[in-house]
Amino acid sequence: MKVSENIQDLLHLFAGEKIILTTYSPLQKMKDISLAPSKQEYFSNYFIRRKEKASPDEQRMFKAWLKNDFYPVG
Amino acid sequence: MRYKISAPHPVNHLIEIEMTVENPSGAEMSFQLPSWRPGRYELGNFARNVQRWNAFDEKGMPLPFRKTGKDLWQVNVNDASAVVIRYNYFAAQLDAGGCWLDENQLYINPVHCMLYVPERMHEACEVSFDLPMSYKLATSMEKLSDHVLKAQDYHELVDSPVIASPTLQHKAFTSGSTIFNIWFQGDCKPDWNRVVEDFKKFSEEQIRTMVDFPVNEYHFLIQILPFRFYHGVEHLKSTVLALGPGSNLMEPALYIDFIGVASHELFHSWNIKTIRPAEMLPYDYTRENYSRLGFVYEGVTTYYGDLFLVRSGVYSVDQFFMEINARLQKHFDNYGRFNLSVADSSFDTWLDGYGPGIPNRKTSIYDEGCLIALMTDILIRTKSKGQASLDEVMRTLYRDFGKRKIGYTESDYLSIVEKLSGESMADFFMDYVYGTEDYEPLLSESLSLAGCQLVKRSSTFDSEKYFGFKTILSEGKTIVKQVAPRITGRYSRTGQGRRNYQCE
Ligand SMILES: [Zn+2]
Repeated sequence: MKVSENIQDLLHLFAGEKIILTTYSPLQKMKDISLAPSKQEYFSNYFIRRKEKASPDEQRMFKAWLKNDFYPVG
Repeated sequence: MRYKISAPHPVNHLIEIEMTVENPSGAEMSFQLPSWRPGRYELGNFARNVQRWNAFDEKGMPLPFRKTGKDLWQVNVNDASAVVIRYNYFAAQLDAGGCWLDENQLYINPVHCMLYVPERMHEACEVSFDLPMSYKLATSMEKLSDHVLKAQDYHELVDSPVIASPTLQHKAFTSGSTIFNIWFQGDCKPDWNRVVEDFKKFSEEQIRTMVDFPVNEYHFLIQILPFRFYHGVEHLKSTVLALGPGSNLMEPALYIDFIGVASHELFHSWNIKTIRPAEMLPYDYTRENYSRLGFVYEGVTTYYGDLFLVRSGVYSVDQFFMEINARLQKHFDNYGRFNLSVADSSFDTWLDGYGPGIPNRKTSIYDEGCLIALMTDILIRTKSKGQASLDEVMRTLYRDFGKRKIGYTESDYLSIVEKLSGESMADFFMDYVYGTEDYEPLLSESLSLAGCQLVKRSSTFDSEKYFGFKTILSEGKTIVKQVAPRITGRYSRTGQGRRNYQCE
C-alpha cells in the first residue's frame, strides 16, 4: 500500500497490527521500518485556560499577576 | 576616533569605510573587528565580509600590516602621526542585526563593520556619512549635523545601528520624561494612531513597573521586508525590528508579532543592556562570552514582553495565553528538555544556540527561560503571600546592579529571588534551572494558584500519539520531522541531589 498523504489513516486503520513501512533513506536506499504502537503517549497538546471556578484567593492572584479581572467584564 | 562612511556604488553592496586614528603610540598598532554581536550569543565572524583592507599614514603613504588573528590586523606605524585604515564591507544581510546597502538605503549595525583599537575603546567616536542630502539618519547616536554622528565611546558606537534613507517614516511620542521615536524603512502604511497608542501603552507599563527608564530617548527602527519575517535585536537606546510583509503590517497575525517583538526588545533596555551578567560586563567582542544566565536575560524578557502587553491592555488575556501556549508546546514537544538544562543550554548558545541542532540535545533560553520566569513569578507571589513578585526581583537588579554598573552573578539572582520569597528556592533552581526535572507538575500547580489550568490533550494524530513521530507533507511526500526518543530510565536522585533522565 502506498503511503503518500494517508499515513495517519493507515496507522489508524491497522491499529494493533504489525506495520512495515518501506521508506527512502537520505541516501536514497530502500529501508524497511517496523512500527509498533506504544502504551505511552507522545507529543500531547498543551494549553492554558481559566478554571471554571476559581477560589477568591486564586482570582486575586490572577488579577495581581495579569492586571485583568478573572471574569472578563461584559 | 573618526570614521567616514560612503557608498559610491550601492548596487554592489560594498560600504567604503575610512578610519583615522590620531597620535598612534608605539611601533605597532592593532585593529580589531568584533567576532560577534551582543544579542546573538554565537560567533558571527564579521571579518569574512571585509573584501579589501589597507593602512596608510597621514600623507597617504601605505603602511605595512599583517593579520595576526581572523579579525585582528597589526599595522607597522613607523613614525606616522596618524594611521588611516581604508577598507570595505559587504553589506547584504537585511535583518534586525545585519548591514544592508542598496539604491534605497544604507543600513549599518556598526558592530559588524567598525574597527577598534583595543587600548583606545574609551575614546569618543565621530562618524560622518557621505550620502545624498535627501538621506535622513535614524539612530540613537548624537547628531553633530545632518550626516555626522557621535558616540561617547566604542561600546556606544557598536550599540547604535543607523538607517540612512530618503524614505523614512517617523513619529515620536513622550512618556514621562522619555522621548520614544518610531521609524519605518520600507513599503508599508502604518496606522499611526493605533501604533503610537499601543507603543505608548506598553512603554508606560514597563516604565511604571521598573520605576524609570535607563535613557532619555529611545528609537524603534523598523525595517519592512516584502516577505514573511519578524525578528528584533536590542540595544540600550534603540532596537531594530525586521518585519514583513509590509502589506500585512496592520493585519492581526503580523501586528501581534510586531507589538510582541517591540515590547520584548524594549524590556531589554533594562534586562541585558543595563542589568548585565558579570561575565558580559563589559562585553568582550573578540571571543565567546559564556553565561548560564540566558534564562534571565532572554527568558525573563520573553515572559515580560508579553506580560506587559496583557497588563497594559494591548493583548487580551486569551492572546497572552496563546503566546504562553506556543512556548509550552515547544517545550513539551522537545525531548531535549530531559537532556540539557536551560542554564547549560545558555552556555551552549555559543555552540548551536540558534539552529535546531541535533535531535533532543538542548533546550531554549527563550522557551524554557520564559516558563521558568512564569513559575518563578508565581512561586514568589505564593511564598511571599502576595507581598512580592518577579517585578521586585527585576527592580532590585536594576536598582542595585544595573544603575550602579555592577554585573550580577547566578548566586546574586538566586539570593534576590530567595530574599523576596522569604524561603529557600535552591531546590527549584537545582531541579528546573540547572537540572532537567519535568516542568509539567510544577507548571500545573503554579498556574492553578492563579486560577488557571494546564490542560493536556492527546494528539489527534496516531503517528504522534502512539508511535512517537511527527510528519509533515511536502510536495506529495510524507516526511518524518521528529522522532521521540525511547525512554529507558526514570527520574533518580544522584549523590549530588541532581536528577538524571536517560534517553537513547
Ligand atoms: Zn531577546
